Formats: sequence, C-alpha cells, structure tokens
Amino acid sequence: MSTAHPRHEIRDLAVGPGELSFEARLHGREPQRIWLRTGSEVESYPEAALAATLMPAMRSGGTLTMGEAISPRVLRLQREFQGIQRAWSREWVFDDPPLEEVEVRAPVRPVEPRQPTGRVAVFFSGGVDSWSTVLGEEDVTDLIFVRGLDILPRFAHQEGLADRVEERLREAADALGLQLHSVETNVRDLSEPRGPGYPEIRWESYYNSCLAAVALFLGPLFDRVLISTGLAYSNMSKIGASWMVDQLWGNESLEIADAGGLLGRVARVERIADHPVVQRSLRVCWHNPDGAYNCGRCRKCLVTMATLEAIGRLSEFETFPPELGPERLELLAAQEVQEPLHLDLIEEAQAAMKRRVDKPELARAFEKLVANGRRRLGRDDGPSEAEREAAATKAKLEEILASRSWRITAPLRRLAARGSR
Amino acid sequence: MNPGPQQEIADLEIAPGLLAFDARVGGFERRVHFRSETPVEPYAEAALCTALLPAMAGGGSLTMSEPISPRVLRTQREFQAIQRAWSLSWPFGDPPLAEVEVTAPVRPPEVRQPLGRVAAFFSGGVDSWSTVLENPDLTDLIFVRGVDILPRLPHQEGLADRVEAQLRAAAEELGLALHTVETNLRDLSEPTGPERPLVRWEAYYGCAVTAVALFLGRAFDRVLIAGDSDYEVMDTRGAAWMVDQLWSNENLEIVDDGGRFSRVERTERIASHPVVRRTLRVCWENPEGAYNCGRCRKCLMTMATLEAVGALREVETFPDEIDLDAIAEIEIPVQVLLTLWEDVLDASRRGGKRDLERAVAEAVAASQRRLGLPPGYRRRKLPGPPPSDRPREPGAGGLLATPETAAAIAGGGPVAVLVGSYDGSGNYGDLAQLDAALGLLERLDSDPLVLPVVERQFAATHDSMAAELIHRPEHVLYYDAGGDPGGEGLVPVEPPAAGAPAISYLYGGGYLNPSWGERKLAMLRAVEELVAGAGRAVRVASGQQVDPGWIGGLGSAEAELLRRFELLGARDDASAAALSALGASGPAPNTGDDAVGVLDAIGTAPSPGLDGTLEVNVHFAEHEWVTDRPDSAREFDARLLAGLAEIAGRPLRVRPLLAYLDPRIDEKPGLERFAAACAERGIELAEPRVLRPAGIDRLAADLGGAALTVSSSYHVALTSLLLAIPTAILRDNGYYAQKARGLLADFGLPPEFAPRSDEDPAAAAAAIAPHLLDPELRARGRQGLEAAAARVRERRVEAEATILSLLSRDAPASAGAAPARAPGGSAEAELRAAEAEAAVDELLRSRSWRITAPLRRLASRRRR
Repeated sequence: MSTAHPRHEIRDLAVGPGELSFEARLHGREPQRIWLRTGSEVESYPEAALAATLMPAMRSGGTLTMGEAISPRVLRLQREFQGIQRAWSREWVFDDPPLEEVEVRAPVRPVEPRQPTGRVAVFFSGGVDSWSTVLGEEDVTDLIFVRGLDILPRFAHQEGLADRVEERLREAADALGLQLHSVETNVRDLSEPRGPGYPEIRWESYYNSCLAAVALFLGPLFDRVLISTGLAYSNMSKIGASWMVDQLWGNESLEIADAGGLLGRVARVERIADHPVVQRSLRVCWHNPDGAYNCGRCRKCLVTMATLEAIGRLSEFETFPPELGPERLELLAAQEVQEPLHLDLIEEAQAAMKRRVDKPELARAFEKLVANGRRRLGRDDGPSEAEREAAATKAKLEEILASRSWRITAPLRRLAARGSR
Repeated sequence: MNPGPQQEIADLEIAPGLLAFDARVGGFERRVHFRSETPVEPYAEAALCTALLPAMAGGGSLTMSEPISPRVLRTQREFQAIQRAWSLSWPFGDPPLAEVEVTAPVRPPEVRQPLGRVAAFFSGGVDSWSTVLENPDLTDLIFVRGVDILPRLPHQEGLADRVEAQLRAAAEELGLALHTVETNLRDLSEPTGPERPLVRWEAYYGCAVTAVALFLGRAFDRVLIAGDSDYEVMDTRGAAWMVDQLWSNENLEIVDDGGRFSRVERTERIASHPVVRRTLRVCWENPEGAYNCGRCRKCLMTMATLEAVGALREVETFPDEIDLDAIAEIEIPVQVLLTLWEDVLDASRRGGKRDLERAVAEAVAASQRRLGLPPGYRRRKLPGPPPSDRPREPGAGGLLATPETAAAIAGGGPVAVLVGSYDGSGNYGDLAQLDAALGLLERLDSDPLVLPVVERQFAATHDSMAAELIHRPEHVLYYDAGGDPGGEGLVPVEPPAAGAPAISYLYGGGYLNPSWGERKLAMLRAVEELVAGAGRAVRVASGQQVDPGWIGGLGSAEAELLRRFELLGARDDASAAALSALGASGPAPNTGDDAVGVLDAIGTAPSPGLDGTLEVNVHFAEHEWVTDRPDSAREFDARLLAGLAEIAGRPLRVRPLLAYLDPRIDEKPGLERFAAACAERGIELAEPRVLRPAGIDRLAADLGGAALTVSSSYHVALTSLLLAIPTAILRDNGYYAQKARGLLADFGLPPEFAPRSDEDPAAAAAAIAPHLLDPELRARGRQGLEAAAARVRERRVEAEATILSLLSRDAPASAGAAPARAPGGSAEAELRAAEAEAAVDELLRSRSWRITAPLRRLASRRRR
C-alpha cells in the first residue's frame, strides 16, 4: 500500500579502499545491502550511491535522504537528470507508470579543485560499442569491466563466463597498453529486487545510471569516464544514455560523458574490424548458451557476423565461427526482431551492406529479416515477395477473416449475396 | 584536411572586456565583437562558439590559431553531431547542417579555485526570472544587447537603453550585479539580413548566449541559460537537453536551466515576488515606448497565464483586464507556441477561470486546425484537467442521470454519448435513427458505456419508447435545459475519470435548423463538458439534414463545436455541402440516413396486384413542421387518392400509418380528420398501423402489396422506398423540400413524387398514375427502386465502416495469427497454397477490404 509521501534512504554508507557499500531503504521494500568492489585502490565518491539509487526511488517519488556529503554539482544536477527521466518515462513503451521526481536531501562537501590525473577511462565489455570508443578516443588510459550488470552470477548459463570474459579483456587491455579495472557489484538488485522478469525499473532505462555509479565509484582515479552509447545521434531515443544525459552525473573533478553518438553501428564495426586485438576478443553475445563467448546463433551475434562478412572481415575474427553458412543465414533471416531499436540497427546494417558488397545470399537473408521485423513491428502493411510462401498465405487468409475490417463489413457482403440471388 | 570550404577565425583580439575576431565562414567575412564594461579576459573559445554553427551551414573546416580549452575542443564534436542530427528534422526547409573539422591548439588545463560566483542571463521575462529565483546561489546577472534587441530595427530604437535601466533597477533590488554585454554576432548568422540567415535564430540563439557566457566566463564558476521549454515538450533545437553544457570548459560550467518547469509553472512560481510584480517585462513590441503593450501575443499569453493562476491584478506592469476576444482570435503560428497555449488552457481550467478558458480553448482549437493537427490533439502525454462547468447562463443546460448510470460513468471505462433526433418522444424516424446508432456502437470491440441523451421532460415517454427499439439502451442521460441540479432520482453527471476514452456521436435527423438546432447544440455542449477530459475523444456525426442558411449563420463558438467532429456525415447532398463549408478538419460525406442501418433488415415487399382494390399506404400528419396549411394538405392527399382511383378505375383502400404517437403528440386526431375527408370521396381506411423499429420485420408484409405510399414523413417514405414501393412525399416547406430532394435523388424518382399541397391534386394524380398503372413503367420503376434501395444500403454499410474505423482507432489492433512456417514442398501442399493465395487475392480486392483501408492504415500508424 502506498503512502502519500514515500521515504527512501541511503544509510550506513561505507567507503573504503576499493569498496563502497550502503543500505538502500527503498519505500515498500526490505532494506538491501548494495556493494561495489574492485581490486584498484580507490576511495569512492559517495554520490555513486545516489546514482545507483535514484531511478529505483523515482518509481514512487517522495524523498531520498543520505547522510554523507556529496558533490554540490551532483546534488544540483540530479534534479535535472530526474526532470529529464520523468519526461522521457511518459513516452516509454513499457506500460509502466511514469517516474516521479524525488526530493534528494543530502549535505554537500566543500569543493576542492583537484589536479588533473591525466587518466581517462572507458567502460569496456569487449563489444562493438565499447571497442569503438576505445579505439576512437586517443587519450584513453584505462578500461573498466563490470561484473554484475550484463553478466550475472545468478544465471546458471553464465557460470564462469565473467572469468573467461575478464581474461580476454585483460589480454586485450594488455595488448593495448591500457589498465583494466574490474568492478563487481550487486547494484542490479536495486532495479530488479524480484529478478529480471519483474523489473521495478527497466534495464534499458537504468543501465546508464549503474555505469554512472561505477564511474563515480572509481572516479577519483580519473579525469573523465566514457560511457558508450548504442546509437548514433541521428537514431537516438529518449531512454538510457541518450543526448549526453550522463554528463549530469559528473562532479567538480570528474567528467562523465556518453560517447559514440558520432557514429552508427556499421561505422563502428568498420572502425574496429582491422584491429588484431579486436579480432581476438570481440564479444557481443548476451545469450552465452553453455557459457559460449559468442554463441554465433543469436540475433546480436548473427547481425554482427553479417556486418563483418559484408565488410570482408569475418574470417579474421577468432571469437566467431569463421563463416556465415547457409544454416546461419537461414537462422539470421528467421530471427524475431521485437524492438524498434533493433530493427533500426538491422536496417542500418542492411543499407550499409547494399552500399559495400555484392553478396546476394546475405542480402536475401537481411531482406527477410527486415521484412519480418517490419511486419512484426507494424511498419509494413503489404506482404513482400518473400512472404508469399504457402503457409504465410494461409495465415494471411485466416488473419483477414478474423479481422475487424472483415467483421464490420459483414452486412455489405450479406447485401451483395442478397443482390446476387 | 577536410575537402569542404576552409573557414577561419582570424585576428582574434582579446583584452579585458573585449573579444573581436574576423570570422570567414559561409562565404562571408565579418568582424565580430563582444564588449563589456566588466574587465574580464574572455576565453578564446567564445569565438569558436560564435562561428561554429554558421560554419556548419557549409561544412568543411574551421581553423583558429589561439589555444582553446581541451574540453571544448573535444566536446564541440559532440555538439556538432547533435546539431547535425537535429537539423535533419528542422522544419525550416534548409539543407541539414554539415560537420566541420575544427583545428585549434589547446591550452594546458588550468586548475582554478572556485570563485563563488554564479551568473544567469537576464531579460526580465518569465524564463529568466524563474531561473533567478530558483537558484539561490546566483550572484550576477547578464544582459546582452544585440541578441534579441537589435539596433538595426527601427521600432527597437532606444529600447535597449530602457530595458537595461529597468533590469539594472531590478538587479539592484535583488542585490545582484548586472553585467551588460554588447555584440554584433547576428551579423555572422545573418550576414545578409534575417531573411536569408546562414543559420536560423531559433537554432543559433543557444550558441549566441553560450558565446557570451564564455566571453565573461572567467568571472564565474557557472553561467545559467534559461530555456523556454520544459523537458517533456522540448524541441530538438536551441538550448535543449542540456546541450549547452558541451561548451563548458575546465573551470566554467554552462548550464541550460528551467527544463523542470513548464512556462505556466514558472509564471506561478515567480508571480508572488514583489520585484517581479513591479518589473516583469515580456513585451518586445513596446508601441510608443509601452513597458508591456498588453496586446501582443507574448503579453496576452503572459497575462492569460497570470490570470489563470490568479495573479494578474498583482502584477503592476500589465493592464488589469485581458481582452478575451483578442485571446480567442490569436493566431498561434507554430507548434512550440501552441504547446504553451495548451498549458495556459490547462491552467485556466485548474483555476476555474471559465471565461478565459473559453477564449483560450477557441484559440487553441483554431490553431490546431490551422497547423493541421487532429481534433483533440494534445502535446503532453498526460491528460489535462477536464473543462470546467460553464456558468449557468439562461438556456444553458446540464446532463442528469440515475445514480446507477452516474456510477457507471465514473467507473472510468470508455463512454459513447449519443445526441441526435430522438429526444424521448415517440417519433418513428427518430427512434429508428437512434436504434441504428445503438446497433452500430454494439459492434465496437471497446464495448463503451453507451449513453443516448434525451430530454428530461420526456423521461417518462422514453421509458415506454425504449421498449420499441431493437437495441435497447441500458443507460440514458437526461438533458435539463434549465441546468437543474437533479432530484426525482436523478443526479448531475460528473465527467468520467480523466484519461478514459470517449465517443461523441451526433447521429442523424433533421434538427440542425432554426427549429431545433440551438437546443441540440446546447445538448452537444453539455456532452462536450462530459467528454472533454477524455484521454482521447472521438467525435463523429452522420445522417444529418442541415439547413444551410442556419448553419452558415452560426456564431464562432457554435461552429467550432461542430468543426471538432472528425466526420460530419449528411443524408443529402445539400446538407453535405453545408457541412463541408463549415471547414471542419474531417470529411463531410453523404452517409445517407442513419435509419437505413436498422431498415437493412426490412426485406422486400410483395408486388401489388394488377387488378382489384388499389392499396395505398398513407401517412398523413398535420404537424407544424410538415405543413403550415394542414387543411390544404388533408384535402390534397384525399383528392390525390380519389384522382388515382378514378384514373385506375379501381376501388382504392388506404392503409393508414402512424409515425408519431406518444402522450404529447398524437397523429390519430389528424388521421381521423383525414379519414373523414376520404370518406367524403368514398375511400375506405383500414385500421392504422403504428410504425416502430421493434416491428420492422413485419413491415414488408404490412406495407407490401401497395401500389403507392403517400407520406408526410421522411422516414415513412424512406421505409416504403426501401421496400421498392413508389412513394410520394409532401413538400409543403423548405424543410420538407430538402428531404424530398434527397429521397428523389437517392431513389431516382421523378419530381411528381414530391408534390405540394397547393398544387392541383388531379394533375398530381395524373402524373403519378402511369408509374402505378402502366405495366411496363411499373415494372421498370420497381426494378429501379430495388436497385436504388441496394445502393442506399451499400452506402450505409460504407458509412458504418468509416464510422467504426474512426471509433475503433484506439482499440487494440487485430492480433492476427503470425504466419506459420512454410509446409513441405509436396504437390498437395502447393495446391493448397495456391488456393489460399487466390482466396487472399480475392479478399484483398473485395470492396469489404478496400473500404476498411482507413481502419488498417490508422492501426498501422498507431503501432508505429
């Protein structure tokens, strides 16, 4: 049962070298102990706790109190972050109620200018977006790998995966001469206290807050931390790390920036595809059946493979099957595209492919994939040539007969039948 | 090096209080300057910020030789990419911006102790006042000359001095320092004048003020730029989404401020401040040096907002009274401004300012139309407050219902309110039209709570009439013209919960005329109050007979009420033309009469015999709306019949029909007088038959076999014609002449079937007789009527499909089975597939599928 004024609290915040933990007391929930840990010697900015807790608190509004002093800039700008998220949430398609603003009450610490550290970090999962940022930003010195965000210990199929991924990423970091910081956290428990099937806050809208929290956790080590976005500015939507919103989590000494909006996905793949370390370590798979690094069969793997194939680089990648044979092409064509965003990315890849290569089998697979996606997402009314297969036709017939259009015109047909008698 | 145009910032001059440079961009060279009395050394990146967007008009490269902030050099790339992406959807018709490769040395990052000074741009208007009052750590204000007050505009001569004096006084009262900056940067964005800008001011102003922020930046830790929109309705141009932060350097934070509050909220928050009350200034027109003219669009909007939040009289810089007519007539040229006015409308409703609400609602609706937005459009996602009750003026009425119905409405589900010809009394045509409307709404998947509106005074009659309907309404609303607060078991109806979808269906009849129009529009207004808070309200009308003169003379508010309808269907071409002339956003087609929807089931009448008694159906009525000479009409009908009997040489029997029968209006006495007139001529009358929708299935038998129907009622005539019986309808006035024209046109009848009672009945009989008695003419006539009846039914089906398409627009789209996997390639499967494909082709070509194309297009658009 909700009360008129929900109260949330961040308490017992403990900051030690390489560790930050706190108790999140969110309205209507059992207290949760949230922690972030790393092997690096760093004493976290306490506002990391605020970044992690704010969106889950916005589910019910009210007040959020913390006793530790935080950056005045963060205290000031979290209001704008909230204003933006609240406005965006009214357009989200999840059918969740819009977010509510939360009044944050926290003391502020005195502003102390800090000498630049000369260090710039990038969140690094080994995927296309983070690789593109790493290779596109010349002053990057450090990489951050997080366990507990997309690789979760609670998923049986991901058992041991984090270790294997970290090992590869560490090799990659060594090869690039960059330092890898590994952070482990249970922060996702805040957004999904009852498991990923029942999110209080959708991961799509929350992940950038988690990354901002990790950035602030490691922040004293760096001048700047970059969060890679999935989309180019021309394709951006009002959710997640869009329109540089994560800048608002920067404090007086740490700049947090969303990176990658300059390039589309295909341009990012092109940017990274020739790099030998990328060819040894690229990882895009979230399915990881039997702990596979890249399963080579999911939508993300197949689209990445197809993009690599289109630019003639697939065979050089060690982390994917060397070729996209007929079976995989069929699998690619049959993928279900459920998110408009994914369809945008696939269509972008298709367009890029048309510009670059003459690979009819690949083009056909993409044509089917796009046609299916467009139909599923309601972007196409008419059946394409590829859809005119027997069963699809029959299904279409049934669909018409069951449609509202057909039902409401029943009197017309009765009339016509009467006329013809 | 980028292959495009090579652009340059050269001869940069930096001194305390001065920044000047040659900007060679976009094919122009301009010396740009910033000057201030404040002796602070500008950041060199102010020049980059000034020149970048104009340079992006042509792309290429932009070089400068003075070192700039490393952060700015880095983040200007993101700024450019965002502006380029946004420019793809700017509505100006200009080519999109192109990215520019910026080459500049960087200076070493400086670490500086915070100064403890925070500045905001200040024009004395609502947005900058809101920023000033919302940021208690503010220490300084910045006023810029040459950004929106331009020395080159004659009407602004001397304005900058006056404004600065006022702002300085306000700043002193607040205890804040005011810095004035003068610049000519618009010479760069508009090198040949505002008509042909390199970059539009709407897109560039964010850069202009940001450049000033960097010009004065060394004096501050932070500079705030007040934006004009809140995050929910923010546009992708100018100071949006905190994009100006990207111009911050290592020591200066530049922040777009105000996005958390709408303009109404900002006005409300500042209106109680005493300095604001003495100094608020929004006017840029300043005729004859007026501080706020009180008449321009900006003044009117601010005044309306202040009035809505109850603060207009407290703010000394505006007149105390608003010209509501000027507000109602205001033209809102762009959607960004429309959103602000939609907010003012919400505020006036929240504030219970009914007169203001009416004026703003008129302006908003008219502008939405002009901008091509659908009726009921609303920029914000969440529903606003429902319209307030109108003041109870004489003649204004309200809706009442039983407590059960009121509770059902409050339940929050979808509602469909029906206003039309039926008012609770016992007229066959009115009942049939309502019945058809109820039958139509029954087919909606959304299963709305259907609420026909009847006159409260006929509540008792309605109770008995409802039993005569095929589709009997479970609930009903009673319209009380005097705005009675209830009683007799009835309670006032409260609007449904905001957000519930609502339908307002103005079903047909001949009431949009001087006799009944005003009353029906009053009912419609009461319905509007009920549905206006709906999350989505759909308004459709069909089957209307309209008096063109009356509708052409409607006041703007009344016409506006009708223009809201997404479909304005008429039952005759003259009415359709009159409704089209209203200028509604939706179409005004001829949908035919609504009663056809229930008369569809009437069947076909048996043909009359070739000899023996000549059977004639007669509906005779003396209502004042039918004829102003009832004696003449009675005589005409009786003599017409006698003439027909004489020509036929056969006995004639009249089968009298009663269409209007209730405790108030009874056609029987008139019929008795008509029977007497017939008796004088040896014509016998059978027992009268009362026409009601519930007995429609017997009508073919009861009316069939007649050689002719003579009618004083549109719906008796229509019923008869659908049974393919030749029918004459009396046209004693313009109202009936219009009805007759419609029926004659629909059924292809010659003009002799629409006689007037002052014509010669013998001549009328002679003209009609061959159609009844000549075997060939009769057969051809019957064939023609059957074909016409089929066309009339088809038109109704198409109209119903259109109406249902519109009303179903927000219902869940038909799920449709996902295509199954293709079966194996056996010959049998291929054969089945070919058959299915042929069947699909046939369905897709069918009229059913074609006429419902709008439904699918709408569903598809909604899914996108």
